[in-house]
Amino acid sequence: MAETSTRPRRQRDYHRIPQQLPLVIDNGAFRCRMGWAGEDTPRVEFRNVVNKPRHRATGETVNVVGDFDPSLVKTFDFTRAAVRTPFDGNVVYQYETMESILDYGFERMGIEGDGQIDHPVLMTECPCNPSYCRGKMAELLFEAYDIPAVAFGIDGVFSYLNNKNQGVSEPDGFVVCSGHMATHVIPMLNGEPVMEAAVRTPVGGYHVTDYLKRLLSLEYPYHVNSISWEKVEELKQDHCYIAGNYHSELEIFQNGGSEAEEKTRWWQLPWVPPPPEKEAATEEEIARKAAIREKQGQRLREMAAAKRSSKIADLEIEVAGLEQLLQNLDVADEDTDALLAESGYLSRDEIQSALTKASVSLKKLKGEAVQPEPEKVDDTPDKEKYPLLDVPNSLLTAEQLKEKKRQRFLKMTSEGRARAKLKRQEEGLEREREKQIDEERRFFPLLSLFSTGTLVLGGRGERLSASQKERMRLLTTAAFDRGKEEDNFGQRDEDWQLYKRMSRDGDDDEDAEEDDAELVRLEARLQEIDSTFQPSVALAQGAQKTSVEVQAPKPLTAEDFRISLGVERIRCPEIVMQPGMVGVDQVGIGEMVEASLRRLPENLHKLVVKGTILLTGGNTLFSGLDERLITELRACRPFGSTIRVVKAANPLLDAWQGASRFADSSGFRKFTFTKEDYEERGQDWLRKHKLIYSYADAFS
Amino acid sequence: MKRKSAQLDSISNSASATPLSDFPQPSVAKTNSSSSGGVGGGPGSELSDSDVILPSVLHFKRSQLSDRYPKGHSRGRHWKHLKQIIQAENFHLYPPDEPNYISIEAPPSMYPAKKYCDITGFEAPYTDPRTKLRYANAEVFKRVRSMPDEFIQGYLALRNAAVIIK
Repeated sequence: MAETSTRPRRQRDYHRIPQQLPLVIDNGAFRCRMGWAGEDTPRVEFRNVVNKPRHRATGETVNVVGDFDPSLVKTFDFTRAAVRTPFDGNVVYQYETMESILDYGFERMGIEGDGQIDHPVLMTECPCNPSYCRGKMAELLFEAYDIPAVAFGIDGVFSYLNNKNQGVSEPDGFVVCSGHMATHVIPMLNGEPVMEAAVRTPVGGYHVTDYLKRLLSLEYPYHVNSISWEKVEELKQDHCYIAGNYHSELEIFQNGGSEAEEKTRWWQLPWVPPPPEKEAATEEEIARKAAIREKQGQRLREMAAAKRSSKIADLEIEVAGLEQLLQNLDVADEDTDALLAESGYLSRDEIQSALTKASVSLKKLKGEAVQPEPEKVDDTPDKEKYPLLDVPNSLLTAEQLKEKKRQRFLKMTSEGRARAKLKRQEEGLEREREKQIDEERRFFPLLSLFSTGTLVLGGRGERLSASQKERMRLLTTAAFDRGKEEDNFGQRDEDWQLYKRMSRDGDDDEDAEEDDAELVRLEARLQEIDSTFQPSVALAQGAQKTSVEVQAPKPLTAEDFRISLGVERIRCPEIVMQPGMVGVDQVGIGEMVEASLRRLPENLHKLVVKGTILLTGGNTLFSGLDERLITELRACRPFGSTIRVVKAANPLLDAWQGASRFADSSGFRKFTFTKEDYEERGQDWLRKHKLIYSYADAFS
Repeated sequence: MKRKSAQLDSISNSASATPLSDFPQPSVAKTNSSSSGGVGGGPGSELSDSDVILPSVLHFKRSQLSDRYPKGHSRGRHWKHLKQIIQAENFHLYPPDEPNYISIEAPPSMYPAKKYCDITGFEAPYTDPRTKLRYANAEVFKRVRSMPDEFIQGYLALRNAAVIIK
């Protein structure tokens, strides 16, 4: 389980391998192991997954089978590649992915051949593999690799038999095989599995790791990126264990104290302390910096001055030219047209205006004050301006009446203009004032909060009533809108959001408010009775909280980059014992043995119960599992019964070794499904294919 | 293909300079010799490995993966999920005493499921009626109530109780 993830080397001794030597493949959902029959260890072992990263140099997507190696990142872009596994649960369902994996495995084995692999194959599969899957796998092996024969066996059973050979387990008993995707319990009678009484719960090592990963990600949302599957797998293998008594172990953690602390593990994420606050810079440095700044400023100023002087020169030339032109025009009366045409101006006036414009900008550039044209202030009294207004109509002629009308109109408009001007000024002042207030508020936020009185300790009531107001508003608008024009409510999806907003939290918050009031009342009463009574913790904490919120965030310390594994150490592997914890309504390992026993005919109980219970598979590596299983079984079995739980000699490799022995025995050939069978009888016949394990002399 | 493996060499060469892993070194030597050997060598030649990528033609195969599934051709879905496989399997036609994938499924537990706090994992005597999260004590409850919705759903999903809107 904890092998280093170095990728397997290509085997180079294929020429020494005898022809027709069976190939043994332990096709597990987690790791794939391949080797030659009769050998003790598999030649090739790798994660049973395919990655499809992009090759950085060529941009092509390629298949990368097996373990993820950090050094691959240099060559391949894994950002958009998802790990693919051929397994759905513990069953192979994607045979194209499977083919990539087999390609890789066979190639690593160093196999050579001309369009065929001339070795029978013994492959493991899950117990009671659906015949469709078995058929597909056979099809793949026969069609793509042209193997002569195939046989399928169960990994847990091979492991049991291998352990039986080593004297660990007995011919009768149970095999408890907990793998990557599922856990099986299979009763063994005289070295043969009794599949009718087998039990499977779809919880395995994958689920434990996944559970731990999700728990940590929820607990430490800031570190989600550091919590990779590989890392969590490693944490699980290093730190998780099965509690002998889950509830007392939980209590230890719940009560805290030194014992819990002792059992807690910490994973420190890489963390670099922020650079210490910059000390006040030395005098020298300040002076140096100022000098540099000054130098830069000087250069900019010089550049600006140069630009300005060149502009001034240009303008002076222009002004001089224009003046000359005007003089020429004055002198030469007859040739004006010709002169104008030459200069490009249309008239004398135009030249004049161009001249004034140029001279004004020249003056501006030179820094001389340009007198703005004084605004004409018309303060002639109304009487003089509109003399006719005061004269009665009867004294005026028709002409004068017309004039009077005009004057009245003029007066009204001018008055209106004055009013508007005044108003504008006022508005400007108002705006200025608002701006100032706003600014103040920004600079002294707390001050304004206190002054407006919105910051009330435990300000829950007010905030909630606002939300309730909003809710009421929604309700009323909904009610009135409905009555009006035609009803098209619900045509758009957003309409339905309304109900969500209307119903949000309403009732619950009311309850909470009532509860708060009740609490206050009770506390008052309590204080009457008992003068030493302390007011409620919640309110006091609420008060503290508001003061905490105001504080600036603390700088991060190494502790913020520490992930603790406390109760998780027992909580995660516990799902194998109690699958209900992850929502799987099936029995855990302890009860599985009992369930399996119930499925056996009564007359066989005695035999099996006396035998050994073998723990095998990567997911049984947790320390404490054997003792826990004994405790659980003792609770179910009659008093005084002997319960023998044994651990497999090598829970990871025993299955492959058992298979290797089986394939090496003379009995193996009798149970293979040959290519002729495949061609004549077809895939369906494979359903009946069943190994008789004890028939092989390896296990007799 | 040849060019690609040559590039790979240079990259893995630079990789081997770092102490990160020792695996590229032996492969570099191998691939160097192979890329000079040429592409068209027989099955015995070792052009195949840059330890990671497989050659597109494997001589031990009768039909090549790339021939049957040419690149860039979308073929739609060509596999069935386990659920569909099981549905298509005609278990009812087989003899009833023959064990099959469904029949070996474990039964539900005979004992009532223990309730554990969704957040801390401790025993949980209470359930929050609003979020439906189980919690162990008042402190956890406070956390539950201040939790954003996605975390609530995340914790519920841990025991397969999250609301899934399809």
